[in-house]
Amino acid sequence: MSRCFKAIGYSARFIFLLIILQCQVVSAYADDSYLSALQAKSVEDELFLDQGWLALVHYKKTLFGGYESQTDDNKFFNADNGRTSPEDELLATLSSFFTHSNGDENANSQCRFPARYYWLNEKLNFDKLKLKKVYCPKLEKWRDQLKPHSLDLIFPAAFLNGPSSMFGHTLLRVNSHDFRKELPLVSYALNYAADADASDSALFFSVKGLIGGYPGIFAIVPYYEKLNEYRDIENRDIWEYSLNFTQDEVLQLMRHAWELRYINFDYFYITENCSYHMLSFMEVARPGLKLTHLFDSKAIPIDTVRAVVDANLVKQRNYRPSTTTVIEHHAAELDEIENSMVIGFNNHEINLDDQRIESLVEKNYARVIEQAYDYSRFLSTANPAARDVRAKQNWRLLTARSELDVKKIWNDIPVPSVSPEESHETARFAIGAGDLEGMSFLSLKLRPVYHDLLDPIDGYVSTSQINFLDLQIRYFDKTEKIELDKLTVINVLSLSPRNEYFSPISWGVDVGVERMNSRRGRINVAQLKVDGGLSYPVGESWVFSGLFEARVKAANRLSKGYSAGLGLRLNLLSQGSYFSTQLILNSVSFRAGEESNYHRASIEQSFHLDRNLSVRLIAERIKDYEIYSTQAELFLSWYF
Amino acid sequence: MKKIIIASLLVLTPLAVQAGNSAGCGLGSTLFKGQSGIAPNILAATTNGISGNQTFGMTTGTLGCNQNDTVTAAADTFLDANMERVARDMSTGEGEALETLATLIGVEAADKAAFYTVSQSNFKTIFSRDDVSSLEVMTSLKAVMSTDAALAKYVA
Repeated sequence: MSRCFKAIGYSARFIFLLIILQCQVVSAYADDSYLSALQAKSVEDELFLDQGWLALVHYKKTLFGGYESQTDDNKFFNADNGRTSPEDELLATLSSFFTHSNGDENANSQCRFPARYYWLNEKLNFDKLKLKKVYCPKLEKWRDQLKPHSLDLIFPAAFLNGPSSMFGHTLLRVNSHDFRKELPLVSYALNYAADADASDSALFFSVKGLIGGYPGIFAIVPYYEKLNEYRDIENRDIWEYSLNFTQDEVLQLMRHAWELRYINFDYFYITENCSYHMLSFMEVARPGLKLTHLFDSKAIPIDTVRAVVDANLVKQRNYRPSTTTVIEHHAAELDEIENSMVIGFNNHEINLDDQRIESLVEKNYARVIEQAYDYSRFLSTANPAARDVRAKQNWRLLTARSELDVKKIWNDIPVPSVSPEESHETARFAIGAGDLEGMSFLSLKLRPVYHDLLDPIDGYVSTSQINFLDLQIRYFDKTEKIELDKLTVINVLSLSPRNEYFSPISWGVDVGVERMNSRRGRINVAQLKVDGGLSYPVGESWVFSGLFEARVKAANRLSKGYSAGLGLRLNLLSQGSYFSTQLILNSVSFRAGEESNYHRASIEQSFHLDRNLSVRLIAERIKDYEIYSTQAELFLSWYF
Repeated sequence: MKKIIIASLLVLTPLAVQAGNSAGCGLGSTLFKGQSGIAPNILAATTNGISGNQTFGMTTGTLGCNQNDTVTAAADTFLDANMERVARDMSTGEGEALETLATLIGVEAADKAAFYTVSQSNFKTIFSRDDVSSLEVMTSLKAVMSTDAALAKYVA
């Protein structure tokens, strides 16, 4: 009886009668001596320690030398202690394969765990007479529909304005081997995502996501749906990496996907996230492949792409520009008057039959119409309420375009010269030296994640930064003391420039502890900074930003314990492959709590020596509490 | 910031619990007026979250509703979920969405150029209104194809 319970252990909710029925079925089929032989052989060969088995059940070594599965769902285990015992789980899995039920396909272990069955059969070479193969119609049907053939790793670039997508995202595309082979749009996207509670706000999502508060769910959706989301709605460039997995390997990966259909993994935003599990899938597809161990503490999507490239899994790389990238490149091909027609048309200032548009030569006419349509679509996606108003206009544009028999009216969108995986690594260690009011110091900085405005820009989204857990300490010669200079918990800044087409808001949030002046000298102060404003391009390579800034400081040694103020930040930024420069003027008037007037002027200049090596000079002058202080610091950053 | 606000608003409304239906069965979309699909997708995309019922079952809806559906059903489903992309491509006579539709309908490589030209020059007939439904589009497209010497065989 106990074995029966084990065999259908997951279905504890079944009624008692059903259990008895199952038992009769089991005893009718089970070949105890053959099972024992298989189990003995697997123990002898130590199959339960094989990389393939460990990958299939998602076992990881624990601190104490044992194993624990990352799966947070009892349905995934055949043995009661399956979560922590690879051996017992393997033995129980073998035993469960002898269970045959004529009812629900899911009651048959062979149908529920086809990847395990396939792998164990490879290793133990099952005797089909003694261990009968169960027919799994739903699984077969599913596989027939997908016809898995090859794999692409898909990387939609970072999207700063989505809290879960700030670092980017990865998913797998499963290409079919039939007529769909050449049609990526109708292939399938295998996606792992947090099943976020619909009632949670975006901010709450970030916090809850960090601590594994959401279940993660695997889903398969048509690839065009993912393209719509990432390319058209979120306007993220997409990189597609064709991988060299064989069809057999892809099939095994899909069997494993089937096993995980309704299985819950707790989703951890930084560690066990989408990108981590795409790697764990690859480890199942090709046993012996070791990828996930590189990402035990953090799995930043672009770092996982790098690991896949480094493991020589990539055959080919393809770039799909986002809707906004396309509009920007096309705008650069139009002249000023044509661009103003596109804008004017979308502001309902000029009509299609306007003399100025109609007098254009056919190719330019077609360009203006297409650009006007694409821009109109962008506007209605950004503002769904305007869709109905724009519907008639969109239709007229397409109709007008269809009457022009001109093709290839645009140059191809150039592929960025540096692709995302060729960008700097996301952890940073820096060592430097400087001077604060005549006191020299040495500095050490460590930032596990991710990228700031003066880091090497190639391969990253420009004018945006995310620093996470950035620690900076200093050692002062004179006092022989080590001081905390700054601990950034999180610092996000987006300074996207506005132009005639796009009008993004610039914003920033900065939370951390910083050493700064007070009435009682230099003290550690917890601080929250929030910025909001607008950015504009200046010349070819500069971006000017004007931002309102609110600050709240808290420290025991501040009078009343806190200080709050409002102010302005003016920012001038240039990011280049070799040099990046930032000038900041910052004034904040603290009028609540401890009062002060804060002014700061700084210049930061970095020289990018190599992809993972950069030198930075920061010079600043601060006036706070009527006291001036000047400091300069030079440091070398290494990205790893 | 704006996106975050939009997303936050969405998560507070019941809209968020309705799944984007674009991958489901049936031909329900209209060209520019159908709002369903877009709003929930913004939510899904922004949070990387997915609605609860969008699990593995979805795969069966990708290319037609039933396993036995013909390729034509796949073309219907694809068109229904990609109306705007197809319309844009058709108006220019080229593009990935249009090529995908052509292949799903069964148009062979040799006849694709004809398919692009014929559908572009009949765009106004095929996409007859700004709120035309995907069912109407497919019907008109087939009617147009049936009058062309090279394409008639695909809709016979």
